[in-house]
Amino acid sequence: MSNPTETAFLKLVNQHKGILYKASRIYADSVEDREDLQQEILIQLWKSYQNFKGNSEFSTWMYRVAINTAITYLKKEKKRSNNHTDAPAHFEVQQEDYNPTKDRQLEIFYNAVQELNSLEKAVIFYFMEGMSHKEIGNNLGLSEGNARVKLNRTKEKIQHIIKKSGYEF
Amino acid sequence: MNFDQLKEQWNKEDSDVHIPDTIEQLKESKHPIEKIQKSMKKEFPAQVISIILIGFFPMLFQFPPSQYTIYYISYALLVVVSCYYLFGFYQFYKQADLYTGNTRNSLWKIYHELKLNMERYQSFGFLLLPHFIITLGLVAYNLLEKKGESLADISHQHQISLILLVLIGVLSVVASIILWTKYFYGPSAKQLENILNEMDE
Repeated sequence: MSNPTETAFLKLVNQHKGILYKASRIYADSVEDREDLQQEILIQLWKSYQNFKGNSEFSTWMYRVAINTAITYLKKEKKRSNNHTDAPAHFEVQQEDYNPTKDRQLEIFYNAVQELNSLEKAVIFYFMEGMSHKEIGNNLGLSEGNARVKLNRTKEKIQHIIKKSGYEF
Repeated sequence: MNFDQLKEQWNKEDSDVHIPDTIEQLKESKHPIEKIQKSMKKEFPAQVISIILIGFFPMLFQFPPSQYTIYYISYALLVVVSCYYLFGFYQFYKQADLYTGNTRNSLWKIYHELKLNMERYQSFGFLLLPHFIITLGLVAYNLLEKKGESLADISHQHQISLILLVLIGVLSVVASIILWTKYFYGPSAKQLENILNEMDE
């Protein structure tokens, strides 16, 4: 039998489960890894929830815990290129991810994001969630200017990866 | 395609996530920092019992009462530093707000905790060494005394061998402690350091 705190917590998480889903899509490229990461984020959310005072919006707090947990999950990182020109010549939309009802463009984007480092993933995640440079900077602990520079670089990198993979951008 | 189109699709995408009905249904964490905290929890009782047992060595090895003072001065030092170490690791274990700050602060906090724990483990290990050397010295002294001999009766060659043996033993233990902490904490600390460096670029 769950207690009231647990019920309230699970209700809030359910309302904002999009954060959980999208953070795991950005940080993990297989279904299994995604499920593992979603579990980890839920565990850390629950552990931290005892200290959540409600000074900020639940969603703001959830964004931070989700991204910080994803960044520190520190699974052995895949060897990825630091240089745009080293991006894979072409990637196929993975079979397990392919769902004809979903838009193919988004799948291509998710695949390209897997080539980014963990900080770039956080930057693009916040951008896709519609945050301003200031909000991205606040969440990451960067100045607004630095957040802008990092976002522009990350967007360029994604564009380059997608183009290199044979798709138009 | 462009980012505006992607954002539009991103916002429309279904959130295919299973949220459990109760917290109990969550699986055990595989998070590396959580794993470190859990292994610390497992080590805790063994460390406390070991420290208590070390306190009974004089009785176990039948030290003469005259040597108790020497032994327990060294032991008291060991207990004080162990308490500091165990308290530090308990605080790290209890920390529940490692992930709630902004990313830079959060990563720094975890990074410093890992580094601090590396140092704590090392200082704990290094502190055990002089205490065990004192204990071994007293055991050796008492064994020789029972035979009616003293350290001065050992041949010069044996004395040098003994010193070398202690030196090699100490160096091996120090190296093992450093390598073990680097193996245990090093990879996580290194990855965090790299991310923090990326933030400053």
